[in-house]
Order: sequence, then C-alpha cells, then structure tokens
Amino acid sequence: MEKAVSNFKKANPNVKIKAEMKFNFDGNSKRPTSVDVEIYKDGKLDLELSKNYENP
Amino acid sequence: MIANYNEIIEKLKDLNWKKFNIIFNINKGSIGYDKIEYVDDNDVDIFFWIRFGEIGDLINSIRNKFYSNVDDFSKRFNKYQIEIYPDGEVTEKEWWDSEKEKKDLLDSADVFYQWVNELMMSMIFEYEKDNNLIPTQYDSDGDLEYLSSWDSGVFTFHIDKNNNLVYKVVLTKDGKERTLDLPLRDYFVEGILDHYKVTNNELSDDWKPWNTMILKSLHYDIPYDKREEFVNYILE
Repeated sequence: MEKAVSNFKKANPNVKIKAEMKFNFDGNSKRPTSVDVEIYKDGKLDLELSKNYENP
Repeated sequence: MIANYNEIIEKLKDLNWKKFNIIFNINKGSIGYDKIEYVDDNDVDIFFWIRFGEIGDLINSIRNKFYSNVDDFSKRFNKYQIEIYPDGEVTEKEWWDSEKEKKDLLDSADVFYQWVNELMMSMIFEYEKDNNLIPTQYDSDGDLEYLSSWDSGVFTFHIDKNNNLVYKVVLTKDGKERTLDLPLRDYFVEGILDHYKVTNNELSDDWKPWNTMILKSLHYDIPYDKREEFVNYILE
C-alpha cells in the first residue's frame, strides 16, 4: 500500500490523499488481527488501494 | 455457498436492483474488491461500497478457503466472485489470475527490503540483549532501560553458487565499526532465498539479475520513496 500511495503521490502531487484505518481485534488480545484500510483520492474512494490487511 | 448474504441483501433493500456483483482480489496478506456494484432495473452497473467490517464473516470465509487451497495448483484462486439476486439465488466462482499473481509478486518484491530491515533490527536487539551487548541504565523509576548499541548498519546478503546464503552484519556506533556474528532465524534465511529465487526467475523480465543485496539501515524504518538510497542489488 505504501508503495502504491508513494508512486501515486509522486505522479499526482496535487491530489489530496486521505486514509481511514480501522483496527480489528480478537478477544482480549492487544494485537490487531486485521486492519481495514480505506484510501480516498480527492475525496473519492480508491478501490484498488482500499483493503483488509491481515496481521498488520 | 461460502457464507450467509443476508447482510448484503439488507443493505440493498431500499434500492432497485436485479443483481449484485462482487469480485474480490485476494493474496497472502490482504483482500480487497476488484469490483463491487449492483445492476439496476435499467441494466446500469452502479458502484456500491460496503465496508470490510460489515462483511467480516464473509471475508474470513474467503480467506480460510484461500489458505486451504493456496498450495494446490488445481484449486488455488486469487479472484473470488459472488453474484447475488433479489430472490436469494447466489452464484459463486473462483479462479487464478496469472497477471494478478505477477503483480502481487512484484509488489511484494519491491518492499521486501522493509521486511528485511525490520527483522534485522529485531534479531540484532534480541541477540545483543541475550548476550549482554547492549548498554543499559536504570530510569527514574528504577526500571532497566536498554540503550541503542548502533546508529547505523550495513547488512550484506550474498547467495553463493550453491544457493547458500552468506551474510555479513556491520554495525556502527559513534563512528566506530564492528562486525556482529549474528545467527539468523531459519524463516528469515528462507525468505531471503525465496526473494532471490522469485526475482531471478518469475520476475526476471522486471528485475535485473542479482546475487547480493546490500541494505543500509539507520536503525529505523526505510520509507519507500527513499529506498534507492538504502537498498542495492548487485551481481557479483
């Protein structure tokens, strides 16, 4: 994700990127089992970059 | 049917739709949408976002099936499609997309140095802690505190003609260099050898041949846009 965002920013320096992350936990563990990432480019959701990542 | 789709149907209840279509992209580590849309009464495809957290059970089911089949070439998949109809009918199919596989391999290979850097920092700390090589002090609460034993490092990984990993770890603190005889964990060695194999074979159209990776570490994460300053692949 970092690579894709970095490449995109280089090619499109004026586009505003926003990331929303939601960390998911299982039971009492303090380590998240996954994280939901939503990436917005100029307010528009990007389908390719928005993902659920395991064991972040 | 891999899961119950009532949650999705419920979200569509106020819309006029005659088909809902999701295609998931999945690999080891992440899952996302390749497509998520419904077809309205005029046969127009309309994007319709559903947050991952709202279909957590479905995502877990697909992920479990992915891992159950990933090592079986006849069953493996990296695309999973679900079509849902208002009457409750559901069709599902999965397939392997070779182009996507290559893209995933390239994406992983490009950031492999981050995995190496993070694990090296961790292994150095554990090894030096266990061998009393890290300076310590007691903080104001009387708790033992570990100080940094290195400011920068150069990690060299060479794959020899017998496909064995030969490596060297040089650490610098206050301008003084030392070589650390660090044992590497087995899975780390396997990871380096796998990276060597994949980049020199499956990705040989995109990667120059190499057998030596030199990583300069400043004892913190290397950002992707600075990687060329810190990571070098050469053929010796």
